[in-house]
Amino acid sequence: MKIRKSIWEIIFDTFNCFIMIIWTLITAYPLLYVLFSSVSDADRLSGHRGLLLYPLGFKLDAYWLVFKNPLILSGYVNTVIVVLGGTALNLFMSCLAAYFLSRNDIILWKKAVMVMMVITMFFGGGMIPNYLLVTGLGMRDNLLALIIPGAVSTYNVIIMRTSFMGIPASLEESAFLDGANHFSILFKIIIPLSKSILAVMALWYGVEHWNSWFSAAIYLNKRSLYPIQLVMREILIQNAQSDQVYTMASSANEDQAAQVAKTIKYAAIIIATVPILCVYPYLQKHFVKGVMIGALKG
Amino acid sequence: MKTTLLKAACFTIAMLVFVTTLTACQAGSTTGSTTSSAASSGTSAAVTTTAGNAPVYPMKTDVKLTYWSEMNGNVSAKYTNAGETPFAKELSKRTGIQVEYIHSTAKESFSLMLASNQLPDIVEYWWSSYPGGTAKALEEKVIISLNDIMEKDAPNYTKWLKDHPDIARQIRWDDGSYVGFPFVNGDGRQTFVGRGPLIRKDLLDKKGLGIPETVDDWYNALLAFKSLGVKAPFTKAKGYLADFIARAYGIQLDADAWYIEDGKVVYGPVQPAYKDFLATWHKWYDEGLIDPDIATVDANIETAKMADGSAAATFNYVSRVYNYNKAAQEKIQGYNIVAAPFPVLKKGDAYEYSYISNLYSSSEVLTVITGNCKHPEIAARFLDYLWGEEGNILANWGIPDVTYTTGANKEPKYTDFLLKNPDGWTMSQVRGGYMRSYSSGPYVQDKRIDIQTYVMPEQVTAVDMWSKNASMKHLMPPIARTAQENTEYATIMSEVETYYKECLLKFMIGTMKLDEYDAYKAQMKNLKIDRAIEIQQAAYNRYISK
Amino acid sequence: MTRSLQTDILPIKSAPGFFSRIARDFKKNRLLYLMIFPVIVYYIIFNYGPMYGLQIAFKDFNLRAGYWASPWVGFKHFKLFFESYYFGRVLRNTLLISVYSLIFSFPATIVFALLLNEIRNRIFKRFVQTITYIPHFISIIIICGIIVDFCMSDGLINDIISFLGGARTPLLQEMKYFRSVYIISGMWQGLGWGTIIYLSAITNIDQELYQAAIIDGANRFRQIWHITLTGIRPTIIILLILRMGSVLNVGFEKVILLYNPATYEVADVISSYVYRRGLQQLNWSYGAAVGLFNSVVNLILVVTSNRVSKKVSDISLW
Repeated sequence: MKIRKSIWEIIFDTFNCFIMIIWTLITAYPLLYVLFSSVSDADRLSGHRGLLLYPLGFKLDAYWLVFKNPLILSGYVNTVIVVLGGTALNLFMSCLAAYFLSRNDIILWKKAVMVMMVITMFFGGGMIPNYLLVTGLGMRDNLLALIIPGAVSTYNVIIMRTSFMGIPASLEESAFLDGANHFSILFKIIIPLSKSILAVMALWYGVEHWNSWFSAAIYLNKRSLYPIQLVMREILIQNAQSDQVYTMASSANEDQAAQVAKTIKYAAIIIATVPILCVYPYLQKHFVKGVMIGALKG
Repeated sequence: MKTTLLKAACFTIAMLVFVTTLTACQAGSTTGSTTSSAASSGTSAAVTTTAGNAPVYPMKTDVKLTYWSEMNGNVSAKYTNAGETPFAKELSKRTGIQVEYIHSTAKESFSLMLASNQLPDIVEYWWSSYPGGTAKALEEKVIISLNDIMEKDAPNYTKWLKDHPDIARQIRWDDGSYVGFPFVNGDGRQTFVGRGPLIRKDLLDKKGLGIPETVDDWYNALLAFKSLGVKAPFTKAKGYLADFIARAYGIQLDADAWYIEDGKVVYGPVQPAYKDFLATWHKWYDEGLIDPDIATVDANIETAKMADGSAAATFNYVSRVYNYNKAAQEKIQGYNIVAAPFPVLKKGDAYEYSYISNLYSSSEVLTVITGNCKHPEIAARFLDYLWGEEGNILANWGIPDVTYTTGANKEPKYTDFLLKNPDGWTMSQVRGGYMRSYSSGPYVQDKRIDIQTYVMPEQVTAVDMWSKNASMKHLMPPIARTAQENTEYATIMSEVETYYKECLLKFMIGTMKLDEYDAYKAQMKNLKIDRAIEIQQAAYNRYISK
Repeated sequence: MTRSLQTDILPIKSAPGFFSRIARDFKKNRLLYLMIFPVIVYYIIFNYGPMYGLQIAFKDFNLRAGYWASPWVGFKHFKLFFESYYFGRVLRNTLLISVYSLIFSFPATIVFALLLNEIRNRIFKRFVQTITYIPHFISIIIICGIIVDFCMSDGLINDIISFLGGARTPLLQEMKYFRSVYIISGMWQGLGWGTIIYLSAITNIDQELYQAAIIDGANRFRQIWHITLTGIRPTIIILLILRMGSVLNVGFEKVILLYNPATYEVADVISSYVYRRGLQQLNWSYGAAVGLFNSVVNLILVVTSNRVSKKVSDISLW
């Protein structure tokens, strides 16, 4: 059935489009700024203020330097391991918890579990006790130290629970009548219907793993285990010295190093961030409408 | 504390007795250290072989020491661990002691290492930032003092202390303890001033003005810049609002806000002359001579403004001149930044309040032997090497014939391997690999190392000009507060500094009028600045009477 | 009513009744308890295990003595914090920034999500979604560097202002603009990312509701209001309650990058103040005490808003 658009709707749509275009341009700027800076000539970049709408010169020195670092490959590999392994664990545990907390059945300890989890959002022991615990459990120099602590985030569980609660109880009731138990309901009904919230959780947990470097810094001594963010951080620190030379001027070498030092932080951001930026568009396809068509009638 | 004092006293007396008897017996001894016979122990005090004394180094020992330090970027650029550097290898070869180097990976590494009780043998760290200060660390037996072992196992250091009683006095604690091996700037370095006012000479020439020398000259110069269309004649990155004008009034601010006037400790922002400085500073801001955005400028923006001509004067390290020139070369013809002398109030006045620092500072890095070390004598020997003649050269100049050569006049000279490294390494990176002089550490830094690395003649003249009349008159020596005083002091100062910084800007911009100055002073009193001055004065008095 | 009846009828059986209730509950819900078991184990080990660290807020913690042997000092650190000259100011600033953020950013995210949802062209929609969430990934240091530059008297924003006829002002030096810059830049960085959860919630709305509404003659706006917005209502409310739990958590990094002494009056928050104070010394206990204070206040806010939400809507955490 073809529906005629009212005049207000047309105005609204145009207006909406207009706002979206402006906002997209505005939010595209930071990435473009970083990208252009990373290939610019450092001296011209130093003297530049205001909007950067195109690269000032074109030099790939910063990128060469970063890629020359032998830890880049292992960095990516380690990060991928942590992201995949960590997120899988996160999703598994969060689903269990969210399912439990979203049941309408009378469960004696449901509220207690919720309270127990919420309290941990506010109170924690601090860095040192956590460090002592993790190392005490033997996870030093092991990627598990980046995967197991932080396996569940109460915040995420609560959001997932809200989503699970939105699934009509009638679906579960009919499944129960057919003889299903909680496990099969969780895995055969709830999860397939929750693709979009799972996609969001995968994104949130995944990005968290991707960006983390601090745990790696304190638990990993073997540099071959360093994830990419930590490798980048090292590179930045190594080159930061060159930029702060304050007693000497330059031979050609100092010049070169100072040049790279200025642009390397931008190159490092691009290298460490672009891969994860590609994940969201891929997950976007799960934000498709129509998952729940006809569910009411079912 | 008391037991240490007692121990130290007993030990000193015992040593004196022992040593005087020894020297009486060793008439005509040929130890390398001539004047320090009182300090020489039974074994050789000299590091190198001398007639009649067996060499100490290389030591024959299987003990392997663990050494914790922060990884410096100049080293990590080329090496993953300090143990891989030619410097470390040479040091181990010469001392005969094998060392395993452990590095921190994050700011918190130090605390975590302590908390999990994994103290290595030697730790190089800024112990003054330990909770409660270095004194607390000693008290808690995290670190040990050297007094018991230094005569025997750290003879070079002991001798150096004897030869430099002034600095030894600064290093020595009030109770006579020597803790750890400090970093010391060598003779002559304290009057090395590497930063100062920088100004656009080409613009001055356009207006026929000379390089400003007095505060009034500066006023005229900045006015001239303004008339040439410069939007922000004077600018500076936030955090260090260039108290170089304040110093003309006898006021030191920010990092050096505590200084000495005739034996009294004073705090710049409550000195009477501060009001006069504020008046001038406000006038300049009002007339648009100071960057209107000065509170928000960061280092990048400062460079950009200097380079694109929005600003024409600033205050910075002399090497920035090179950076500004490079950044500006495309846009501005004839761009020329030069160093200006520190301004004074009246022509011919001496610049008394100089930008110099102590040769020794207790907040610098300190290399200690920890309470966990099972072989403190070996650790002391290891660290002591750098305090002998050969060790000092190794630390400052590197490896003979690789990074330096000794000229006919016995003066060491850097080779091209350092100055113009064929593989593209920067000077700092070569230093990182072959010596310690890229940063502070447990050695004495030679004042000659910098001059050889200057490439621009302007640098040399600038540094000369700035250093030449540097005065030590008002310099605050390295005083030490007790742990108790420290907590009180820290609490008071965090509020005082916040208030001072806010008011400085408010007075400058005009949000606070100068007739509110008395209210400002009253509030400072309210925030207990007098108590802080008391604490500092007490620490100073203790220092003087050491 | 029912309760009093029960106590009338079964007064003596309360003790054994309690245990048998537990037993019955376990029997009935054993699969659910099995499911939650690994989660509980995780929380106990990794969250409650280290919680003994909280005690240093009441002690003078030193690393050598460790957590157990450090001396108790009661509320000394709290008093130090509360009695500091700037306590009132930093508390006020923290609250105000959080509240403004709540009033502006929170609804803005929802509105933006709704607008995004209304884009008809799928490709354009995907494109906008992808680009607008990218600033979230750019380090705050870079973002603030850009903002500081733009806010200069001769920067981009002032160019626009003067183009529109206004006067140039150093925005980040004026107290009255700080919060606006802080919040608007926060939206710049976080709006796109924040819409993700709402977009996901929107996909769970039954499409047939829209068909039905159209048949009933509802226009786009009524559809948005009555269907979309209502559909994501639970999500909004839960997020709001959770947001209450971070009111005192205004992070110090961004504040420090944007503030300067001229704006301390409005910009200095608890975290930035403690950070500056911490620069004097590594004072674990003081930081822990302030953190504990923040946590307690945040928890109270969450509990209160949860209770309010329970009464007003039927959505709550527990």
